[in-house]
Amino acid sequence: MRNDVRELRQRLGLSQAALGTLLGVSRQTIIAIENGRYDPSLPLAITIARHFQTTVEEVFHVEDSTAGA
Amino acid sequence: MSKTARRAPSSAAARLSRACSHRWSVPGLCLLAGLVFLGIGLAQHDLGLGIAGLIVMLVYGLVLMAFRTRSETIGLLGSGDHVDERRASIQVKASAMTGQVLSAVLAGGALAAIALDSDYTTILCGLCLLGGATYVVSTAVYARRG
Repeated sequence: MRNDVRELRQRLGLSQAALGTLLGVSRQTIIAIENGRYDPSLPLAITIARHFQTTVEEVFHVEDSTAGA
Repeated sequence: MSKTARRAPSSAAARLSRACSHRWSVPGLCLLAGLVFLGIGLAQHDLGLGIAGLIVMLVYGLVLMAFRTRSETIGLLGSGDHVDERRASIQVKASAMTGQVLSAVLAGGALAAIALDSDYTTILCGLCLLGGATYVVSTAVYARRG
């Protein structure tokens, strides 16, 4: 799943470690999410979206062509 | 910012604090296992075995402590992170893989023991029964929990 976490984080001037601390996860998990290697759980996705004061749909983008159906 | 979002940092800090309490659990277990090895060695009048076991376990524990922040793998082996969902997921997958390998080895061993009429047939078949029953019960429990 593609996401805009890196862009949103950089916009706030946060490091990956700092964002991880704020969200209660490790720096490696932030890296994995940003690189699309790990899809966060729904609670973590909501926490990320709320942290950036946006919605889950604005942060995470499902690539499946049937997603909009 | 919403109330929940403002609460998130303190909640995260509390979870990280709880994680720190797990940091010493595996090295502590290593020390305990090493002392058990030493006790067995002393009981069997084989001091070499006891000391070797103690040293191996202490070195393993020290490696886990020394490199836990440099390597995520060693960190996972050493602390058993229950906070980070990705790390918890990694540990669940690793445990499942370990269980699958052990199940295959046990089943193969039990079949070989039956074929060879080995003395270990009862033990291996018993372990297979235990493994199968655990799988059935845990499947039922987690199916009910959703």
